[in-house]
Amino acid sequence: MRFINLYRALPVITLLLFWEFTTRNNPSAAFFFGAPTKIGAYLFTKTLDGSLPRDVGVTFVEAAAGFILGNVVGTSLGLALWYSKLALAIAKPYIIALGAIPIFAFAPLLIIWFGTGMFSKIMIAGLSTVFVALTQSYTGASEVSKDYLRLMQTFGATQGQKFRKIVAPSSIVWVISAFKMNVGFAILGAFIGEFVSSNAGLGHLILVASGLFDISLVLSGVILLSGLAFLLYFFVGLVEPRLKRFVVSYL
Amino acid sequence: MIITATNISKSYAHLAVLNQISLSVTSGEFVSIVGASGCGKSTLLNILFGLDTPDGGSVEIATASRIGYMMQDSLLLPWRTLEANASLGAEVRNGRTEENGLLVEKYFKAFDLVGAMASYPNISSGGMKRRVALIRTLITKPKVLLLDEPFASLDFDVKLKIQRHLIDYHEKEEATTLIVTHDIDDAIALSEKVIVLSGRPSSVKSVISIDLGTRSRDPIAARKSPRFSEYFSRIWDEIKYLEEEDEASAIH
Repeated sequence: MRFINLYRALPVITLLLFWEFTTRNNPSAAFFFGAPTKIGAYLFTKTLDGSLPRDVGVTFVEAAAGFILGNVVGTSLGLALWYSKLALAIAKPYIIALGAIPIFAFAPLLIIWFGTGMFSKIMIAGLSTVFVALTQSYTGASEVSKDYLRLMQTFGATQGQKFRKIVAPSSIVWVISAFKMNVGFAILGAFIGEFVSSNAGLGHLILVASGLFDISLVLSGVILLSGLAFLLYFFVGLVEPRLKRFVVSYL
Repeated sequence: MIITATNISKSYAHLAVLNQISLSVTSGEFVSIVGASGCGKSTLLNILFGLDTPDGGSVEIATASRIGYMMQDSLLLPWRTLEANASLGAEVRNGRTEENGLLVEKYFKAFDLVGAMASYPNISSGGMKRRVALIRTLITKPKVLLLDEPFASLDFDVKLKIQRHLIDYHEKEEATTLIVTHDIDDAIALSEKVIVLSGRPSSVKSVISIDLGTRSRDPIAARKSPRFSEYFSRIWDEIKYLEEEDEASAIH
């Protein structure tokens, strides 16, 4: 696959050329669909005047902080449920019920409780990631081979040792896959929070631009949102091997 | 007595596996349990160690003794190297110490595994995994050894080498050793006493003391001993692995 990056770029380049060609001398099409050159111009000028970096930064901080909060809390709770069958039996219906509620329903509440600033968005992003992390890590922990646990019993291992040497390493794959799924959910959470009420961030940008029917600006925001997803994904990729090595070799 | 089992019975869902088994092993003794495959040898060992509870009967193991139990499955953790797998038991007992690391290395050398220390179980042969599982058990320096088919899937030359090391450990540490095996030769070559189990539901058919008249305990000298085949026929006649003599000819 020598030219894979070239092949990957081909659909985008084709789409952009077609898009630009059809909207260039057609003001009504340009009104409804925006234009690549206009998007490019927005990305350039708004970066220079400092408003885009600020919006991107705000949304990134909200999504990233919510991502960390949700995953840390969710993973810890999910793995902790391995220790107690009773706690799991009690918690399970609540987890399912709470996890099924769309985050959009909670967003206004959280904004009332935590204000319209960044903190409420962090909480919303955290809440939209916490259930995925919880369910994944618990599933990973409960699918641990019973034989390995029996093996640990032959060494006289404590519950804590079983957890560190068997449960944690064998559920790490599930935990990492939760991280990957949660990249999208964290950004969605931050975005929804901004969409409901905010004065900065990409959600705010998109909300304002769509009110003005400025399609090119809306699409600039959309492009930057997917850029944020790539960035978060990249960080997860950096953390993954280190976390695996830590869990396997040092716990 | 280090191990005493009295009238142990066990069944799984109406399938009787063990029927009134009693046995005893004295301190420093090397005992083998032989029996046909599927006769419940592993179940018996699980019960002796305390992993499973019997339906009836009782087990007593001298409490002060540290027990090393090697299960029928090697059960190496796929995310650990062979070296890290071998030190798992010691790690649980004493944490990660330098002493453990050195001991593991010594055993890997002795068991012809030096080149494989950094390999992972998924690319290791059954025989290699078996040896690692044995190292994992020995490294905790148990005073009582319960070994379930410790020589399974080992090539003959490797097996003899490992048996020499096992006898060496048994004598130097004055360990009480109880192994379960389907291999009559191994049982005779290693043990002072062989317990023969009948087929399912298994009970103790006979207990045979082994005296090969060799000057020192050695798996090769034992096999060369003129009395070896005598014991073999005796145990063979007790077990009768192949009940129907013409079973093979019925197929071909």
